[in-house]
Amino acid sequence: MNVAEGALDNPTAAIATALLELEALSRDSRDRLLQGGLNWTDGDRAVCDWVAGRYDHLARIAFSAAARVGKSASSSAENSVALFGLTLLLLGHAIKWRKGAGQRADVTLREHGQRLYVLAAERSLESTAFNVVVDRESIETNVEALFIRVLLIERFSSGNLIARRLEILDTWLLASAQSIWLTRELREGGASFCVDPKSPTRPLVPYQAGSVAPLYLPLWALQRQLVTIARAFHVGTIYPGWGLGVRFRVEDHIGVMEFLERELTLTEILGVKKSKRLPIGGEVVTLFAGFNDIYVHALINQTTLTSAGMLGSAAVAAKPAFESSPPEPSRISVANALGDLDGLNIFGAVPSSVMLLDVSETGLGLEMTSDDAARIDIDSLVAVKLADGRPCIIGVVVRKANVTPRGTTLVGVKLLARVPMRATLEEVNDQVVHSTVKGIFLSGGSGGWHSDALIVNDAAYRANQTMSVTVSNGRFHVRMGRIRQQGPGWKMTAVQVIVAH
Amino acid sequence: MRARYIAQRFPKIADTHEALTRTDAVLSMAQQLIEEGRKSLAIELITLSLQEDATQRDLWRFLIEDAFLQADGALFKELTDGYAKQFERDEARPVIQAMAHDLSPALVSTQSKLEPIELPNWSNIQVGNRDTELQQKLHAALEVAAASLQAR
Repeated sequence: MNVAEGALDNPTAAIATALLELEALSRDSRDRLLQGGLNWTDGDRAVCDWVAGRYDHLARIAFSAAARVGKSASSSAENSVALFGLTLLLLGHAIKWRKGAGQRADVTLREHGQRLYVLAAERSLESTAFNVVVDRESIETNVEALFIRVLLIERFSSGNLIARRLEILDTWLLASAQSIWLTRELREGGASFCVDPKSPTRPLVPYQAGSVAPLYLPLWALQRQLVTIARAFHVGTIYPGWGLGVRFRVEDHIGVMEFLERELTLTEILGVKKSKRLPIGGEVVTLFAGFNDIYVHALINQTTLTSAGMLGSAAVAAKPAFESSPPEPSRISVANALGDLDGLNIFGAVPSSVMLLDVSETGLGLEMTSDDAARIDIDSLVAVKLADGRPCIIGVVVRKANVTPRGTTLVGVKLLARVPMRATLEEVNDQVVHSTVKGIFLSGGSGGWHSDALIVNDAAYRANQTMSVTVSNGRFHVRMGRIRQQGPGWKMTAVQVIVAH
Repeated sequence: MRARYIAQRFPKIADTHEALTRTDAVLSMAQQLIEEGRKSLAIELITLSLQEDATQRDLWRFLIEDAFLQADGALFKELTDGYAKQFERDEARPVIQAMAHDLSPALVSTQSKLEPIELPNWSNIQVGNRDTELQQKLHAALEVAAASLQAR
């Protein structure tokens, strides 16, 4: 592949050929990198850096050519729109692969996209249809759709999606080109994003009452796409039926659906920007991972809930051996012998040194050694002790990104509760000996009782079993309801109250 | 693929066909999803259930009333056509016609005058397996416990 800026008689054809060659050359590597998750070797990282670098380089060459063509009065509409579209396509690829490679986002890529959209709109070319090829699939699209894709990929790549899921989302955006468009008027009764193509500092922000923007991106259009995607699964197919994502697990596709649903709901209901992250100066905190470790060690001082003696019959509850001796700070937290191996953390140790990078209303950013990070996965349950004397908070790992050359890993944690409460629940039955279940209660807070939840070990989930628990001197009989969220070794369920004394 | 999708999307459903053909269980789960603010997931669950067994009358009625409330004329027509095909002679037909007329007179071909409708409340699920008062007691107790931990 050899594309040199300024030496192109037919830039569109040359760049399109270069893109085809790059995709053919890198397809197997891209597939392997995305399917391989985060256990990359140094060689894998080098390949990913190379892929990101090639897309970036090609995008910038394309933009230079497109900007010249856009200014030239003699260029035909057909040539202009094809080149604009190809450039926007490359800009989106470059943004996506920078994220995949763990590189810092470069806003100039999106700014180039804005510039091209403005050029196209000035010549009324933004809705002109043309075809682009993405991983051997020819798709009909237009400048506006590809511009929307650039904006959304930039927005979502700054969040918690891993590269594999971002790839899935990107394919959906490309395939949905004809279904998502910008409007000049705000649609009544529905939330939207505000879009200002001429302002480099206001890329895409949720609409709030009183906002005025040149263009809007209605959310309902994105929500309808989710219905389309779900319908494909209902008939046993993967939308849109092409791209690297068709080989990914169903769980990843569902993860992206749920991510989009959350993002759109948050944007619609709150109408606010993503919660700000407060940088912390790299404070050392203690991390606990896995249900058992959290229950035994992290929440040892956060126990207010116990099983009640059941109508005078003997109750046998398994008590953790370390209950009276709080864990020492910064130590390796070792899964101890409780007498049962339920949810035993077979790795035993939790990170010995974890740095807290930032906090927000919804989560934390941590940095740890890559060896330590290898012990936890996406969707792992974790607890973090921010300071002595303060309750541990509990959350779920939603992001891991290797940082080179330090050899550390950045871990994003989504907050589940600031004050989780350890509880021992006891089965209600006619038996002499009552089995107990270890659980962690989360109060729904301002979300009300609908948001109250119980976290249990995977193996302990029992849908129809009534259990007794005492909370703040009140005794309750409860059942585990619908599973709301789950991960390796744990499930979080709704709580159904049967009796309250 | 469909079964795997349903299993991941709705983790509590073990045996797909069996679970999706029990109307009460489906409505119960849908109720919980709606309470948790996940109405679109509830709608999807009900839609999947009807794909398994289209004779579940209450599920049809839920979707029809919801489409009416969302003022989605195209979806309303699609659903009511499907309902009419499934249940040729049905007591709900006058109500559905009135809803169609209210949504858009063009949807109704009848010449006769239609009475103003009173919504039948099909989309307000009351399966009755959760007592709000009891749930609120537990919630209050959890809040007290959490506050006491924070105060220490």
